[in-house]
Amino acid sequence: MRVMRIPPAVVVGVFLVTAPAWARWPEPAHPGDDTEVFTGGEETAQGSAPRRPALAFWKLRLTLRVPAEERPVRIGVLVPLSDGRQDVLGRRTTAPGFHFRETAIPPNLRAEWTAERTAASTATYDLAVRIGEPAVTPIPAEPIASLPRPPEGEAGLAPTPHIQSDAPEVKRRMQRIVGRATRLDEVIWSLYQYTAAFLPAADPPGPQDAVTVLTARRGTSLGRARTLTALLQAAGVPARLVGGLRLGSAGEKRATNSWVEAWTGNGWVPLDPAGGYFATLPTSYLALYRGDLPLIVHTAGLELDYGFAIRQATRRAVEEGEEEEEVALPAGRRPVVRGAGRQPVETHSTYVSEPVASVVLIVDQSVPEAVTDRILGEAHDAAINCVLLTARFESRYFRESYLERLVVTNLALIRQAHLVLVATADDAGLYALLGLGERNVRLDDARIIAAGAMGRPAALMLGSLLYHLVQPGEVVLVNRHVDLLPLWELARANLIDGTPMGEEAARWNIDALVLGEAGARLPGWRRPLMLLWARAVRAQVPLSALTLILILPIIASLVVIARIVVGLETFGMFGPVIVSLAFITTGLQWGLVIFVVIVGLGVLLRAGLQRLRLQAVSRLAILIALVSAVMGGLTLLGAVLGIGPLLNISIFPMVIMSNVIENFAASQVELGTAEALRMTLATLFLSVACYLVVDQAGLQSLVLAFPEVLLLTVAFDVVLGKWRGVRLLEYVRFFRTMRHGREEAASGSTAEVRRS
Amino acid sequence: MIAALRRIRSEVLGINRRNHGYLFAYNPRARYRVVDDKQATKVALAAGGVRAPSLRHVCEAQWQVRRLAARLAAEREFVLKPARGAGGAGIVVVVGRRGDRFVKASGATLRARDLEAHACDVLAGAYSPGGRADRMLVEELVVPEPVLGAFSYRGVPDVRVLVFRGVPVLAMVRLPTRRSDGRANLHLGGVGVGVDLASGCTTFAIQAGHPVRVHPDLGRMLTGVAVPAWPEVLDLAVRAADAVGLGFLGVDVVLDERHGPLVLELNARPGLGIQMANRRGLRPLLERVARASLPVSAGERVALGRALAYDCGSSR
Repeated sequence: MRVMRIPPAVVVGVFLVTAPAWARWPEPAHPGDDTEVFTGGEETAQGSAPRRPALAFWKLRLTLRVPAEERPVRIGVLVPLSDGRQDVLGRRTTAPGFHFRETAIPPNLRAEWTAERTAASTATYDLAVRIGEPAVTPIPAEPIASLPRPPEGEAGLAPTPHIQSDAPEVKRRMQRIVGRATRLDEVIWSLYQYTAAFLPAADPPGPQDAVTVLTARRGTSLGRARTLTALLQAAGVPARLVGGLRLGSAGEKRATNSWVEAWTGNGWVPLDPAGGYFATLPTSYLALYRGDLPLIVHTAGLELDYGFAIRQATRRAVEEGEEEEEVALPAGRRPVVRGAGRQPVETHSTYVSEPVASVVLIVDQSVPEAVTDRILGEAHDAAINCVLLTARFESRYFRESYLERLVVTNLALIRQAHLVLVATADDAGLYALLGLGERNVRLDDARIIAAGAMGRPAALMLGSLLYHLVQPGEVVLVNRHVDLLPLWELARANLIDGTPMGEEAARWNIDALVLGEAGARLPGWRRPLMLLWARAVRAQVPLSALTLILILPIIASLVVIARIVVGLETFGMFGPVIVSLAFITTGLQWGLVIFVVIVGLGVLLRAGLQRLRLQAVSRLAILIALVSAVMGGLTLLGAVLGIGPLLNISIFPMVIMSNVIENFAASQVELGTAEALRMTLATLFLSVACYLVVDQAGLQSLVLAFPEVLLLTVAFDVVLGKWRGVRLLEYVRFFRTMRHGREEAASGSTAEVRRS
Repeated sequence: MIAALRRIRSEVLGINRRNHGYLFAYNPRARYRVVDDKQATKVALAAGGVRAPSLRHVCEAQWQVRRLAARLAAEREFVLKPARGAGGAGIVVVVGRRGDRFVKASGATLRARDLEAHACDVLAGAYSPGGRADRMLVEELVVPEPVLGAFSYRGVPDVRVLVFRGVPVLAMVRLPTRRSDGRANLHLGGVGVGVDLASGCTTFAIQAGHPVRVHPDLGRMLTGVAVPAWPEVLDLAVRAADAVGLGFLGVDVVLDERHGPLVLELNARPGLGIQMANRRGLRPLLERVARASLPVSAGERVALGRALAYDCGSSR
């Protein structure tokens, strides 16, 4: 059964205004003597902004044109980060002749290009962003005095030469505007209104510090933002400056825009006095950095030219643009959350300018930050490009399909990698790697390390299959669950020192199976089978789906045991088999929820239908309609709430569910509710038992390594079919009466009658 | 406890063994059709000279449903049965009239519309295994004779006789209760009372798998009751088994006030609860019958069955 793939991440229309967890406010960057500063020009607001949809996708390219220089050159640009409103979906850079590095300067991220000398060249920095327009954030009507402090601390909210919040004229003006108001919403509103009424700056604008603008009552967006920041701070409301871009106009632009964020106790609320936005921002505002900072800092005397090329894009172009065949350079040492916000798929990476090797690590469990940092740090020190991809899911099916997606999405990375390391809980990683074979990818010299708990024969079979299909230099298999760190050490030692994998593995006490020119091999008589599987993979047969089919007889045998040996009464034979398969795709928790919701609603509706006195067939058809409606509803619910497993239920076997409902209703009428419930529970119980067995990692690979197991199940079914013993539940049933002997209870009357 | 479990293991007939050792071995596949279809059963029984409640009407097609009420107008009391129904499902017992409404055994009333809807359900296969199209039979209502009738809460009690190779091996009286809604089936909550084959007296009683001593609704002592016309009941059961040609079956005999014992229906896959009602496992009995050389006449086989029951009973 080819089970449906997860649809592309669904856009979740919920934006959480999350308080960023920045540890501390940075020291204001004061440009030194050897640097020149651009603060961007001033863009005049052109009438009222056109109404934009509540979600916008943009592509930006920052181009830095650097002239030839015979001295060290350094260029730093503050680049945007994801926050509750905007999401950076992808970034990449080209910088011929430069060392590139991204450094976190909380709360901002700085991209830095450095070079010892340069020819005349152009560096680019591309971004894909999604910007949502949240509803107007309500400002709590609380007294300012009771305002909790921002999590970032107070540092940086202090007066500066440009934001003179302690200047007496600022304080005085603030008091006059605020009057006797003490509530947060009143104070913020009146100060905002006041600065919003300022005139645009004269041409040319004079100095734009808070006091000057306040006195002149006119200023640029930067000046007005500084004024509002100063007034808010003077009133006791933590506030900070935001530098950003107003997206939209075609062509290249250099002008930046400034606005203010005020702290309201549970989040930062945007205020743009120059643009006229209070507590909300349109989707054309992209925040680049927080604080009163210059956008670009570079070596003094450099004739740097720069500009932003902006174009609006479609969701598809932006979100699936990640899958383009170019090498993406996931930036920095931070998670880049892909797709719709809350999927547990993360990417960490480190990128060096002249790598000696590149490594892709794929993991299906959450990696502690310390481990990530250590690995990325070591990779960086050893000049290794390293990308760490993680996908964590409860259900094996999800894990596998997401791992496979990770592999496919990062095909370009993997193609260039010298070493691909896959550490998973079970054999899911190996199956995901077989996706490479499906796409005819050859990793000619690269090494593959795959670890996960699985049987040795299964590991040998899957490993040989991978080796045959992908033809890497070496496949190293560790058939048990191993922590990421030892595996990484293995990889690093091999890449840097050239230590043979086997040797290094032994040092770490890892029993590794090395497949290669002179390594372990599949026994000869198993090779034809492996070649057969390879054929199947090349013909685009998803192997994991194939194993699900091959595993069906095993589930069926389990049902046979439950019915013949245990004596469990279920609704039909197929019910438990199919429902257990459905659980594999939804995961147990959600599978149970769906089952209970559907059957529960169905039984209620069925009771209602009873009144209509319909024929059985049309009643069943109505039940199917109900079940499909519920499934559709649950899918939409999953989309809205971002619950991945719910998105997959369209394959939940609805006909079987309708049948369960009908069976339930029939048994309820005939045998009573208690009995019907008992049979439903038995069906559910058996389904869960089957699911737990099938979800066991080893089983699927076992079927692949030894398809003859299927013959065994047939033999087993024959034996059970011939078995005549008393079923376990029959013991229970008969014990209640049979434990009383005939004599003891044979009431005297019988004996008397017999005698008479 | 261990002894009881051992006894269950060695003496009780479980479903697995019933299916393999008896159904597959003694019931030819082709003969199932006769017992699974109540109309065919009646034909076969009539051919073998076995008496059964008379069939008044058969409703075979949807278009006949419309005339059903008119045809039933002449009948004061009757039973509606799906021809292929199993386990008592889909049976409606009408015991009289109130105005233009039909009064069910439970006391509830049905309009003609309700009866027609029920008939539609039956014809559409709502009560037949696999949902196959079905026929609806209208049968004469059995009026229970007073001895067993006094032990049943509405509805008609019957005697289930388990016949193996033409020899009766175990029997029980099945009594309707309030819980079983006037029907005699054990799995619906009816009371099963074991009957000693030799004496025709009731021995032990169970309801829903638990031993009981008195009728749950009527409060009468269930044991030590002599079943009326006992030799005829056994004789009828044996001849019914001969008529349909099945080696292992349950024969349901009702005792009608006017006509005496009548075969109500046959069951080619008899339930095993009868062992609990008798507190006796079937296996020793069945194994002895399987070994015995069988007399030809029905009367002698009844005698053999009664003697066996006495033997096994007293050996314990």
